[in-house]
Amino acid sequence: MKTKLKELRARFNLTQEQLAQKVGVRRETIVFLEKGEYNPSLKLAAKVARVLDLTIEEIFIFEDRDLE
Amino acid sequence: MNNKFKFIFLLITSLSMLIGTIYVSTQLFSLGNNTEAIVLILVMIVIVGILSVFIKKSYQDLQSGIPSDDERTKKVRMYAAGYGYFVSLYVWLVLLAFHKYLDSDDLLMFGLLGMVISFYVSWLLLNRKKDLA
Repeated sequence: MKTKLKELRARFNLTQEQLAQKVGVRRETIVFLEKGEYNPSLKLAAKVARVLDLTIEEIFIFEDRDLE
Repeated sequence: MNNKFKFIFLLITSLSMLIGTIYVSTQLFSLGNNTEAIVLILVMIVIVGILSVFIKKSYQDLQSGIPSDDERTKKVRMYAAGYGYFVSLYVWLVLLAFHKYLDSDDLLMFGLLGMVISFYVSWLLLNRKKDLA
């Protein structure tokens, strides 16, 4: 899974801590999400998308091999 | 479990274990069972040492208002419980193989300690694992 979360967060001038608080998760979870090392649930992805006022597809990019 | 409740629960558990250990080991020392008392103290040091990591983390979360659990931490804990259980089955099997050399109290103590350690090690490894499904 690829993600644009880091760039998008920077665009919104949010720190990892602030984004974590808005989403209601721990900062470590945001770190793992930004590195693409954790696949979020649909609920978490939707929460992040809602906080950033974007769609899930604009933040998280699933390639064909991720869906195999 | 909210942050405050978790912190208080961990603190009370650790203190109870410490007080219990001090009381029982003093009794054992007075009865002349020095080896058992020392083993008990060492086991409790390991358990309270592990708990202190969680207490510290819980206190930091409480101070900063960060949720103690989220989707990822719950998933890590669930996986760690699964792995810990699996490993502890082998711990019990090994202990049963050596049951002639251990009395039932020691067997139970080592078994429970094995379960605690296997869960904690699994948790530590999984917490750093990439691509947790």
